[in-house]
Amino acid sequence: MRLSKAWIIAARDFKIFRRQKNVWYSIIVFPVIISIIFPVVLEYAGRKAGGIPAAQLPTLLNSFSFFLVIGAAFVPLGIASYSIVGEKVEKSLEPLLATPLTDGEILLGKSISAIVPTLVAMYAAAAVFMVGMDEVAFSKLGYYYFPNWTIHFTPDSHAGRRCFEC
Amino acid sequence: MTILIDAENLTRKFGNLTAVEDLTLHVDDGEVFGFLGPNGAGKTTTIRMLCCLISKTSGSARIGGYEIGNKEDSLKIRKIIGLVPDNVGLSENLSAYDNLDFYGKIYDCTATQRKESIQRFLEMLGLWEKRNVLAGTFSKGMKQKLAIARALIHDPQILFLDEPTANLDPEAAKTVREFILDLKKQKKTIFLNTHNLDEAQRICDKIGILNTTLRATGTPQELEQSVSGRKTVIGLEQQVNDVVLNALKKLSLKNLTSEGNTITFDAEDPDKQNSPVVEAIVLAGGHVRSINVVGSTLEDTYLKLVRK
Repeated sequence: MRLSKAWIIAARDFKIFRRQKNVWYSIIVFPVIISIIFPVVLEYAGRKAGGIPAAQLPTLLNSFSFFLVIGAAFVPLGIASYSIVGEKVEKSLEPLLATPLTDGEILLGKSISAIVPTLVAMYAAAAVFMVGMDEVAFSKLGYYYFPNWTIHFTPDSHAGRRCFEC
Repeated sequence: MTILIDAENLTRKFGNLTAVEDLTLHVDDGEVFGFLGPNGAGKTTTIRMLCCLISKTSGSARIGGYEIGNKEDSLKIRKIIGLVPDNVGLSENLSAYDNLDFYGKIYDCTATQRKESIQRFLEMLGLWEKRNVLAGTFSKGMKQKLAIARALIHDPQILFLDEPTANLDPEAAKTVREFILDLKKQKKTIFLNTHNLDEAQRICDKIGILNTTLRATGTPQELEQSVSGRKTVIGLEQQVNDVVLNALKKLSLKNLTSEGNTITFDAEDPDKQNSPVVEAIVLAGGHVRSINVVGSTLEDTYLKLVRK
């Protein structure tokens, strides 16, 4: 399998995605929600009487961080779906299959075209998310929680409830 | 001459349905082979098998010496062919230039080769001015031309065209047909699926008539002659007399008849037959006004063979 061939397919898909609003929405909406909404929610909860206890903040931040992982799995679905459905609608798969590309190279190219925008979007979202969360949590914790390389993504099902109860 | 497409008893079945059965055909290098047949005859299935897009059920075929059905050979076959499918299959969100550039890259053409080929083909097809326009905004004819350019971008040995002028207006069809004739002049091997008998007759060196099985193959002239019923009708200035008739009887013409000033006989090979006939009439004192070959055409042959 030749990576260079897969890149040719991915590069073409990137060009196509640039003109597809649906793909842009799927790349942008979820990361924006994660990176902006969560810090806003944390800020809002912190202003309520008593705020969030400092001891619970790390658990809460870890739980919110888990959504970045969900996003990394969720965002490429839209892109990959469009990539395949687009070929089907335009009937452009047949001439592509008649070229000296292997099925593996075509699939790898399609995978790259779904993964790369997702990674870019999710890393950008993670950066905004971490800065936002640090801004909100610094006054309570006294230190910047992010970046945190020892973070463990253990979803805390009660984190959201505790956030609003405290 | 090298045989580029060599199929032997090629068969493709979809469940209980046999799409193509025992297809045996040979296409030489530089030949334009027309594949005629009604809808559902198996023409597209044949192209798909020969382009290694679908597998064969039985039989064998070699394209440029490579065996279809062999995984390694499949990639080699795809390198030496160009395909224009019945639905053009362009990336509509890419410009005409980008569509061609993408395929050029896949076929390992260098940047210079791609640039030159794209410019050459787009200029030949009258699309150079629209090179940066999205393919999705093109008319059907323009898309068809762009699809042909795409199939030629790597200078393939064999070009497969699946009904390239279907659904095109007469002007666009004419442009595409002229482009195919240009390719023919360049001695490009072309496998052309078409419904259009006139197109096949004008473009193709050899024609195969398919209706699940290959009913006949040969040059357009051979196919026309293969069906009995063609008559040569000779009109004379005067009434046909016994002297003229006796002179013609010596030439062993089949089903020779006369009525008034018209002589009729079976046209077996008009190119060879007519000259001595006219000579005999003139020597017998007759004056020839007209000679026509009437009856069987490629259309007659086609209809007779597909209805078998």
